[in-house]
Amino acid sequence: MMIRLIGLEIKKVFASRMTKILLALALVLSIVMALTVIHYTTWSYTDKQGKEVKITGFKAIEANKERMKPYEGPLTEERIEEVFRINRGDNKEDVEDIYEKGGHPTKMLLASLWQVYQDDEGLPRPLSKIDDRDARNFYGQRDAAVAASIAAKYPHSPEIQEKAIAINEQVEKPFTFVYGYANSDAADYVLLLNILLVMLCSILAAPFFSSDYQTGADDILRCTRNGRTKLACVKIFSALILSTACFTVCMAIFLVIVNTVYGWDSLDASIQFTYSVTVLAPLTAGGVQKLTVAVGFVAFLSMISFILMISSKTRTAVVSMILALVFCLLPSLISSIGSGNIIEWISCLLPAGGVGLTHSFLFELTGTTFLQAGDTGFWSPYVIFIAAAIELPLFLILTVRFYCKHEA
Amino acid sequence: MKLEIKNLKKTYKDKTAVDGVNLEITPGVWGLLGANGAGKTTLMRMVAGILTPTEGEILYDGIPIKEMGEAYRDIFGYLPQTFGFYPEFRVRDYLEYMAALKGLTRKDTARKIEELMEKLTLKEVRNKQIRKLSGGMQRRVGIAQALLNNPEILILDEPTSGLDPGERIRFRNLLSEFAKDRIVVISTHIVPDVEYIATCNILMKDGAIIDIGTTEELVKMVKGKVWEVSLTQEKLGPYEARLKIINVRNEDTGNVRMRYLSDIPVLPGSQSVPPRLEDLYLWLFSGKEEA
Repeated sequence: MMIRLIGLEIKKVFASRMTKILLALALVLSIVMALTVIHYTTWSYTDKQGKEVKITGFKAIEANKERMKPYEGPLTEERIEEVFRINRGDNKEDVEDIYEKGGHPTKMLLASLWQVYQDDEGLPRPLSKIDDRDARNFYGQRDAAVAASIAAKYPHSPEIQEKAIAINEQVEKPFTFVYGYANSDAADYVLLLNILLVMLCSILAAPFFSSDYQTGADDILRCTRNGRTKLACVKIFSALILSTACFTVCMAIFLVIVNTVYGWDSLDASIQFTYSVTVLAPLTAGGVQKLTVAVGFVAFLSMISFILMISSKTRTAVVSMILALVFCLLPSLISSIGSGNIIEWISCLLPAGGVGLTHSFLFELTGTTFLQAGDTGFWSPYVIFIAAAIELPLFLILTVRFYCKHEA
Repeated sequence: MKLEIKNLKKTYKDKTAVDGVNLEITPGVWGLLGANGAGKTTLMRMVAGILTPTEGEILYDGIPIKEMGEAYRDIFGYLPQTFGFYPEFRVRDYLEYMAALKGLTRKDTARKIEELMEKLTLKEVRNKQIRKLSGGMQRRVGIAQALLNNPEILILDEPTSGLDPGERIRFRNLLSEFAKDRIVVISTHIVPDVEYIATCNILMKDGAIIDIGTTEELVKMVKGKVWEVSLTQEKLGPYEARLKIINVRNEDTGNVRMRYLSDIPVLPGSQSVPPRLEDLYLWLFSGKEEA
């Protein structure tokens, strides 16, 4: 009976024009966003006539793959030394000149590797001041830079420093460099798509209960044998099935397009080539992609369950939709108007904490934020995941409870 | 089969909507009459289990309906005053959805929907979106959903609003047939809807029951107080504001025939006429003072 009811509930939701529009929009967005990532991939070079040439899109990706091919694979310290040497040429002073002019295939690598070489004041050292010995000690330099930045951020918390170093120790070395996904904006777009899907599906889920309260349809429904708890569960399952289908299809379309164009093998690249070589996460680009999508999905469902709870409490569909959008944007709003431990805790604990514009699981995964509680600290991505995983069933239980207790 | 309402009360912050109602409803059609704000809808919503009473209880065959839960809802049919439907849902899909909620099997669903579509003349619109139906048609869809599970208790709040006279007559006949061995409560202020089919009428005012009885018993309250008189159109004007006028109709002579309520004949030539339930309704619920 439950399956039949869920089928009919989904049929009812699908009968609405708004549902069709929202789902079509999500589908179009996933394709457009994948193509946008590709479109904004560029390569500029100076041709034989000395003219600046800029190519974009598929051609740029193919060209970049071709010219970066020799540098792909494990980036041993010997190879790092070689990269610096190639750029330096015969004259050590040319290094910055080559870097500034751009166009050299190793520029992309240099830009990442250079970050760990800092002077005593923590400022980046000029490329000309990095000699072979420094280049050979890249990973040692990197670990020192990580430890220094954590110590500077949490000077009074040795436990956090230890935890950060312990996470960092799991980072696989040497890094693996493969041109592709890690060098594009795709990871940011995965997040953006996740946020947009949260917003669209929140709008879809917002009227699930409140619309029936508003029209009076609920009076009839709750008088039926399977009304109340069973109906609440049916509505919840239907909302989750629709949202999951939407998320899965849209995310799959996006990832298949992006991964195919940039190359599935590019997912083996170390994540440190996407954001910063000092990123703590011991993951490849593919690992980050999987984790971002998986935790993004849990956060997405947590947000949908939160919206369903709001819907079971509000009397009109418009109010629940407005509240849905407010709570979608709340973590980003909070984190952009302030900073500090409490703000971080709130931003991470909010249901949309993992999928915000300025506060998300991806940003936290590639950052070094630890949430402090007394003497101890928790790495923020863990908090986001655990909070979302706890909130998901909690909000659903509350939704059923609120729906059954509802009286107009 | 008996529905007992014991000392039922519903109070909101600043208002008592239902005030200590006691009723014993047995099989048959029951008309619940009262002006707007009398507490009819609140009472019905409590009987439907949608509202929790502030005080008192409702029992079905001696068992509190709250305890019966699903079993009570299984024998219950309800059409609220505002029939909230899904505008883009097709008639048949909506009825299938409601049948599933009422626990009907697929086989029973198909049979029952066909039967009700036939009875309520909905066959031609089965594949139409509900929003594209006329108000009367939408109301019939609402009635159909209430009857899907062959309820032992059927509560209808203003069921005939939006129906044309022909549809109302058909609906009355359908209910009369349906009400055998069942409890049907119709809340309305369209008095003729219940006048001819109600086995008993409940009169409600300001949240309380003021009287219960058959149409014949109740109309005795206004016996000798209903008058008819023929007068010119010009003479009618002054009385319109002063009398409880039930109706005025034109006569072939050019005069008008006025039916009014009063303890004594107010106009010369007034004749006492047999009272109807509508006369009683107006007597009780019209705020106008007689001259």
